[in-house]
Amino acid sequence: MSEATRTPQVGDAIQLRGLERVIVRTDPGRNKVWFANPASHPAREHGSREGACAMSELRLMESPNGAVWYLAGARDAKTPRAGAIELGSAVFDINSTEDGSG
Amino acid sequence: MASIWTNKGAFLVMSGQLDLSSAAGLKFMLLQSSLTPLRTHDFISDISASECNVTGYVGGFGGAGRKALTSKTVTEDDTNHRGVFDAADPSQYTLAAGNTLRHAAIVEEKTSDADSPVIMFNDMGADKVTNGGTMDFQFSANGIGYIQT
Repeated sequence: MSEATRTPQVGDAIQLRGLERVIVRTDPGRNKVWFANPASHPAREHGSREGACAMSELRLMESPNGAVWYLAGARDAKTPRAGAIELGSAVFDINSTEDGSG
Repeated sequence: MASIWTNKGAFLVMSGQLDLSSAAGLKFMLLQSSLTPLRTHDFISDISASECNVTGYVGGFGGAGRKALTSKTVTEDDTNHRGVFDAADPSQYTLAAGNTLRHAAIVEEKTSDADSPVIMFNDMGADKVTNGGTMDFQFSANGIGYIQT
């Protein structure tokens, strides 16, 4: 993906994981971002059980062809859920170098 | 203990036989601490003897304890030089007392445990004893697994 990023705006269509696409809407009383499709709350990945998260927690990354904006950096901002067991990430290290000598 | 890819998983991905972003049979399964994950664990049948087996978890091929991964993604990380595989966290389990868990495995169910490859293992960081309460598993912020170049 390209390095172009921006914060989401109300009305944005965001491509989530796979082929799923959601529309950003807001809950003014709580100053949170909600997503129109309740089954695809990226907010859950921020540790929220309410399906909402602050707009500032989200960042969008433009796809290579510039046609679609993806949710990016969400997991970077994730805070562990209380009581959750965090699993390690499986590493497959090719151990290469840029000149191919590694 | 560690979070590792299996040789089989690496082979399947690199040979193009497994697309982690779209494979329908990718599942999450829980394993007891009796298992030491090995890179040579090729198929679920190699590890199924250590699968979680308390009430609240239905193991075995097609068992509800093995939860299908949803919202799977494979992304390119040019900052950390990785290809990253991720998915939505599995839903909570409520597990009766009797097991000590340590790892989860990402597997691809085919037609039986004997032909269903193990792709990677994810370490829980410490032994987790089931006690009748809920257990909530959360994938790493670095993704379920990644290839570091």
